[in-house]
Amino acid sequence: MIDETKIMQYADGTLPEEEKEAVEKAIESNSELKKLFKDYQETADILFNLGQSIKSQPLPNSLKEKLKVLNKAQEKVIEITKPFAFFNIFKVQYVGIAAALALFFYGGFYTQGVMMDKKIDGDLTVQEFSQVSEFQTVAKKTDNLKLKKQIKSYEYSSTRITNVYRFFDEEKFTDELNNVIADLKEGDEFELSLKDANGNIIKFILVKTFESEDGFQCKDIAFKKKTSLSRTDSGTNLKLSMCKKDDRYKLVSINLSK
Amino acid sequence: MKEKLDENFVKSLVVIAQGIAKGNCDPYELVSGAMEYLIKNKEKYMDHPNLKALAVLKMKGLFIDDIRKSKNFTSLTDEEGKEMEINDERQMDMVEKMEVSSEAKKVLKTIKSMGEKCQEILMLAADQMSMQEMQEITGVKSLGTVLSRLSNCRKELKGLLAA
Repeated sequence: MIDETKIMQYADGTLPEEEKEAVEKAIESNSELKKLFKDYQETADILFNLGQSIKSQPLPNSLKEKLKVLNKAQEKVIEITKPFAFFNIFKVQYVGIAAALALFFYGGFYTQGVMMDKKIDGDLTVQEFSQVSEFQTVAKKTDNLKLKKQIKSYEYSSTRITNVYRFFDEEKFTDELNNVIADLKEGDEFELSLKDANGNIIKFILVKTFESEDGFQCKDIAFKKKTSLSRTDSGTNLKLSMCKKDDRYKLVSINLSK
Repeated sequence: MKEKLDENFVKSLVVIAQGIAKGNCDPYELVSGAMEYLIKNKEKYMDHPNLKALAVLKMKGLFIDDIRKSKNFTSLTDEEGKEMEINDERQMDMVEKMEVSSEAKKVLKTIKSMGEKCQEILMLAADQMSMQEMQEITGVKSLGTVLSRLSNCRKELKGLLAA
């Protein structure tokens, strides 16, 4: 039996050449598949026309203005050499340093999955590795790291990060933590007002205090229990790395593991 | 930035945003927010090989932020696929005000009445994205799953339009 997705690919003209003959024969000899083929052709046209119809609308002036700014920025950025900054460390060319740091911070703690999310200028950049071995491989091959893979990881991880942010109010957490962090020692358990997705108060543990390679004072704060990130998530370990910058601890990475 | 940033780039984002925005969220606001993000982070992403994927990802994040601000957590679903329960009357109003053909409005409204995953993948298909690009943006691990999801959603769309 021919897979329906093959019929769809054939209708869209994206089926590999070597598979076409078999699919053609199947369509010719089966009226149901023939109908399915026509339906796929029809939906391809419908979607194409929809896309074209939306694109035929003029852009609002506000978006046109932003496009101009973006294009100007694109021209200017070529001339700018960006200064090195700790919070920009996870830029692609520094992935090796970040990966090495991550191995140092988290290596050996997790056996199933390691996910590093570095914060850059108020936004999260995500790096995910399905296995520690892959993580280590990437750390060794930073120069050859394929950007494509990075984006894929970024997007997959981002979905999970957005789940964290559904209940995690970073600003509030940072404010409250800065009020108590000076009194905390390694191993101390504490609570803030932060609640999980089910409305339960979250308990935290200060796992360790350390100094980053850049000389920043940092602390790892772990969620005491696994936290459910979504209705179907049975539980995820969360650990937040906070580093002191400008006399204030700020979130620099989120680590998720199963 | 390797990708050409012209009006077509922005219009592609507008198409895709239609599959992300729900409830009171305006698709054009998502596009605007994603562009602001790119402007703000221009240095970081100057060599990004897939700027559109990055912008789409940002739009998804902005949508979540929008929901978070409106304190509408409970009706949001997770990545495992349970349907969103956001009232989409506002979305239908927005579609009605678009200057597109009545046929396009009908199709768009039908898509917006479908599940979250179908809305997303069908609008990616409407933007003529390749399967690989769809896989990158949806974050689905297997290409087979993307194919299967698109196939099922197109069948569902066909059924709904015929009803």
